[in-house]
Amino acid sequence: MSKWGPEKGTQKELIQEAVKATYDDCPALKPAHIDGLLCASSHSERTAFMTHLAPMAAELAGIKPTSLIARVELLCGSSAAAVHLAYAHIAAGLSEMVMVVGVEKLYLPNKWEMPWSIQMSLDPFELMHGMGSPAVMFAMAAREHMKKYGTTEEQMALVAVKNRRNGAGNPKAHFQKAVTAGEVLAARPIVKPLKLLDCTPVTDGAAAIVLAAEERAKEYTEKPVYILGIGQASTHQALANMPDLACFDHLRTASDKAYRMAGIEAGDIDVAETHDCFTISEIIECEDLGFCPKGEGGPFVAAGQSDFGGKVVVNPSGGLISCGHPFGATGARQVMDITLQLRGESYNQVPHARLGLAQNISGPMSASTVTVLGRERVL
Amino acid sequence: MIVGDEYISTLDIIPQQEEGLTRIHQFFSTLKNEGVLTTSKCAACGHVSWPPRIMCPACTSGDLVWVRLASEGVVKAVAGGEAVVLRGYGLPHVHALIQLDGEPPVRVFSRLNGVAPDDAREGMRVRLTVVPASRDRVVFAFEPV
Repeated sequence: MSKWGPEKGTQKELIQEAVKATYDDCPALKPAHIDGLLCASSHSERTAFMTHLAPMAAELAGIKPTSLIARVELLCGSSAAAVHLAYAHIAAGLSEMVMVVGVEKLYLPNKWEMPWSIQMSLDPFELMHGMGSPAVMFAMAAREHMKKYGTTEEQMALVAVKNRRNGAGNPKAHFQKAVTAGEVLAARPIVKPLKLLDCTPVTDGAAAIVLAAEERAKEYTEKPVYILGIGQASTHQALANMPDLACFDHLRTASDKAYRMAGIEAGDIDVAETHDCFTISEIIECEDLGFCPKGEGGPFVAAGQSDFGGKVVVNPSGGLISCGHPFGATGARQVMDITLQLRGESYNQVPHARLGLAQNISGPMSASTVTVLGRERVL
Repeated sequence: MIVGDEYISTLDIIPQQEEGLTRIHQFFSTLKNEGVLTTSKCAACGHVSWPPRIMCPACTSGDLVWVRLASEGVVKAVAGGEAVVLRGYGLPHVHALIQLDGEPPVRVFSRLNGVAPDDAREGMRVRLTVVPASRDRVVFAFEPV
């Protein structure tokens, strides 16, 4: 991945920085070995005035695809969806080796453009009301969760404290500085009850990973990581049609499918990179991923169950709250971080991590993408 | 969306409302002329959609009729503040999910005008208001009863 943050550089340059890091990680891997490329990005037409993005990324990466070349868009889950499609293409025998590149360039000279452009992900009947920030709908979710389950602002703050502490050691993260619960609670309100440090920042960045058929992967690494299960689901697009603001129904469906395919249960996961775009998201996700019972996501983080020494380490990378969230790049970044964990090579290593999970929600809390990864092919 | 003196339709977050530009122009003309929200109901299976459609997503019929929705309802979820501003929109902003009265139950996302963010509450009774928008268009909003 590239360094994430407010970066000096264009979208083309972010792609090259991420791709170079991937090649540098595996010196035996050369561009000519890769036969497919998927590029994931949600806002390129507006933020970089760029479409037909996959051939652009392929040319920059030195790849001349012969099996697969396409752009994948699922807003915040774009590159996670691309990982699933690359997996399926390889599993079907149509590709042998596919690079997934996720990228987003969100810092623009005109500051009003990015908030304006992210409105594109709303139904026009909701778009017209000028929401301005996803914080509006996640604040609604937080209020609903507080009302229904007694979740507190202090519990939400503990998600930020944990993730910012984890991110403090991540050399690629946007924020690399720990914060205290007091600082989170005293930060200026964005949309109550969400305050500045409850929110992921606006971030530029790219991430690139390579998927390969097992026999090909073993030519390049002694420590391949296996995709064991995938699941996706969506329940709505208009926020008005979301069944329950305090529950990600699609995440329950998607994670159930991924666990079943992998032949595991939620409790088997050692390490997870979840979609903490806001602190409340991680609390709801811990519930709907099955890490804790519904409604107990607040006490779960407060008891340290999502931290080192707890039931499952959630967001050891620092998550979106530390790394930032260049929409199209986040899913690939999460899969990369879980891969490092399962290889035992993370900057914030979870001891003996054997099973990992990457998870995104996308759009107006509309869709979920879940990937289960393992250190061994067969459990 | 106006930049300088150029109107850029691809940057416009207000829907195009004229006949010829949208097939659901009747929604906007009824809102503008009568101050009433409407939506599509399937003549074949009775399914009511929100937002309005031209195909029923429940039974795939294309035989849809317009039905009037209640102009009052109750706030089911709300959030607002002063930190989030979108160019062209005022502060403070309050947004709400509103359950409209009557059957079948239709829930809409809308701006809630005339109430401070800290005073907006779930359970508030609200009513429809029609707000003029650029290029002779309208949007709907709600305000406390």
